[in-house]
Amino acid sequence: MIFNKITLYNFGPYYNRQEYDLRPRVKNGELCPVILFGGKNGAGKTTIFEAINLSLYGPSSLGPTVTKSSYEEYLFDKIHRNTISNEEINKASVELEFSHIHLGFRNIYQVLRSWKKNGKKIEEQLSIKRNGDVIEDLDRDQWDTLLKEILPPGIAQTFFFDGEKIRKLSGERSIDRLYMVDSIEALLGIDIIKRLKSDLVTYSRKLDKEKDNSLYVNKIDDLNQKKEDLSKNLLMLKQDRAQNETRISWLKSQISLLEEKVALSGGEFSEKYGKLKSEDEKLKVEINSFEDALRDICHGVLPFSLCSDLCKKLTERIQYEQNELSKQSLHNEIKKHVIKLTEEIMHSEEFKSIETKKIDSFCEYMVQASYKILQATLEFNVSTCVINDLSRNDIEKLTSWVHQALNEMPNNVSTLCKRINEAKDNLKKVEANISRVPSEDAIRPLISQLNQVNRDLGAISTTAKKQDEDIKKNEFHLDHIEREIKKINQDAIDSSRFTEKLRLLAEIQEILVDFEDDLKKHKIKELEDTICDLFNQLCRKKNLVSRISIDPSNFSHTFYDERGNKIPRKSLSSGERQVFAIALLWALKKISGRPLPLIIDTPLSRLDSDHRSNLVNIYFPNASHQTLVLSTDTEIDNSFFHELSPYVSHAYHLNYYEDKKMTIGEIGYFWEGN
Amino acid sequence: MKLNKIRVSSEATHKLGMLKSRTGLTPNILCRMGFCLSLNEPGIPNKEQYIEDGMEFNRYTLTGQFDTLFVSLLKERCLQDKIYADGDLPEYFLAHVNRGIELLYVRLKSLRDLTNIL
Repeated sequence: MIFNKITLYNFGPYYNRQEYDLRPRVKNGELCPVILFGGKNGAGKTTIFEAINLSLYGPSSLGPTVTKSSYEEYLFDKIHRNTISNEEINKASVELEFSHIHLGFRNIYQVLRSWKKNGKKIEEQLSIKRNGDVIEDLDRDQWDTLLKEILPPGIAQTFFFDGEKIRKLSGERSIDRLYMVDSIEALLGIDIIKRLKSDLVTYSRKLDKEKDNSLYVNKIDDLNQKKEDLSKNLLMLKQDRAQNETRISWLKSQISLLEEKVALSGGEFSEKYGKLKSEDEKLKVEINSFEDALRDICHGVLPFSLCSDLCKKLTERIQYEQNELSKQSLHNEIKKHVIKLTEEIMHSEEFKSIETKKIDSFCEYMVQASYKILQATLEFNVSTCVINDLSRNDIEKLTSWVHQALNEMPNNVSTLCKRINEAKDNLKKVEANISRVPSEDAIRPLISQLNQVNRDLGAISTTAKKQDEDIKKNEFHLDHIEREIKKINQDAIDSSRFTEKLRLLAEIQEILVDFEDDLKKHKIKELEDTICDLFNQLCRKKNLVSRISIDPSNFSHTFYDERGNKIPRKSLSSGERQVFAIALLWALKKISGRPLPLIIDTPLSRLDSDHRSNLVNIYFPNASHQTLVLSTDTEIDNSFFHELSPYVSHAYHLNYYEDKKMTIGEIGYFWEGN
Repeated sequence: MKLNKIRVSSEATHKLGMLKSRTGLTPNILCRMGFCLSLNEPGIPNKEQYIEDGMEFNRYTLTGQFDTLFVSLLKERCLQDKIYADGDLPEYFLAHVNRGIELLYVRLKSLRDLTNIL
């Protein structure tokens, strides 16, 4: 990431619009990473630092727990106050342009945070453009989040720092109390593992909820039991049915055998028997056809004959309602006519001679009187009107159905029933005749046997029919259960995959714990070595410290000398501790491998000339690909400026003009114009 | 009347099966006849009495071309019972069907009994 430029508008001591180019330039074929801002105390160095922070993080640039009102107060205070021109300034803004490479694409972002006074309130606005266009694939309220994703504030803490932070880091307080543990972990790449771990926990909890293996087992057992029962039952039914079938065919053969015998024994009876037999057949067919006719009628209007009284009442109501409805429409017509008539009377020439008042009251009377007459018939309630939503066609149909049901059906049914009864009576007689003992003794037992067999056949056929139905039902049921079992088995297979997943999850979680430990150890070791190396490079006393050990839990550190003895913290000077803090920040940046710009605000104030020299010559040129250094004229003074100048891309002199009460940034450093 | 599916009780379903084997009439027709029979019966059926746990019918196959007449008769009956309210009609429809099947089960032992219940 590279900051391209920062634009200040009425921000702090900066009046109107001021733009600073932050891009490191190439000089003599080499990239110079340092951009130097020189300014005396109060000229606005820290304001530049704040402007960058503010444009990126808004309220959270003031700290993790800032209230809305104190943020607005801050913005209010930051609006430039020009006491010279008496001009009331209402608006201010900061805009940062930076380029960021994401997924292999270089994007230019322009982040503009502007605010204006509205009475005592502040209205703030954020606008982000990517490559010149307003970002469209993201809601406005997610823009702050986008910025935090591009440059996490925790990480920025170690990339943007001032003397204050270095003082804190070098102080007695341990790092974890400075809320830097998270950012150190993020920089070392350990936070990703932590996030993965917590994501896995959420995922396994979700899986846990879905699985319920025991249920499947129970269900399957249940269904299998049912299936077994049904299959047994079905088998039995089929066996019975088969037995019946053999019995039926046996009975049929018996009948034809007996009939043959009867025919052979013949004589007068066989002739008569044949006749009776055919009559019997005929009657049965007749009864069947009558019953069919009766069923046919049942498909028509017959059901309504079962509530004839209600049907009658319904027709009466229909007539009544039709009457009332037509009356109503007639009344509406009449009303219209009466109104028309009174109007005509009022405007008529003939009645002009009569006093207007009288005419008016006459008309009024007429209208009221006719309404009264009409009113008497208007008590009919439309809301309970049965035919209200019926068409004329519907009503005609209804009436004709009711007519049929009341007038034709009873006769038809009773005729048919009578015929059925007659036919059944006849059938009884015929059957009695058939079974009646014939004249010839020889045939008598045969006939009674035949009758018996016939009765048996009838009985057994009925049972067989019922069995057929039962078998069908059972088969259907069985099919259903089999399908269900199949489905549940499939579900169970899915759920066993589930269990496998859960097992793997647990394993992964275990591995992750080990991995996090290993990674931490490895990274901490790297950090220890790097800090030690950098510290010794920057420190005046060479090899003061030969080893640094860092506690992985809170990142507190211990120094060891060449002989492996602990060096008490107190024996280091405060300047040396500051150098250590810088070494720590530098080491973190190196190990994280994140290509982020570095901003350092007045870092040299407490250091002696040797340490300053080391910082200027070793740290500033090598710390980053883009390093903004904000310095006073005593920190980076004339001689340091010359030492640093091969690495300086360009410099700005922030010059505060007492007469104009504002700071103007000029190209160049205190003594050197460009 | 808002009603698309009609589900009778399991008891009624069983009785429909028996009636079918007695008369050879389909359940739809038996429901029609039962409904009318119940409309003719004094006393308001209890609409809370019947559980919908049996056979299901589609309203328009059950009422067929006579839908308007069935609904009009039900309205007339409810008006007479002084319980007419548009929203209650489906429940009373169902209640009459259920009660009707029971009545039919008692009175229709064979197809020939039709003449006796007219």
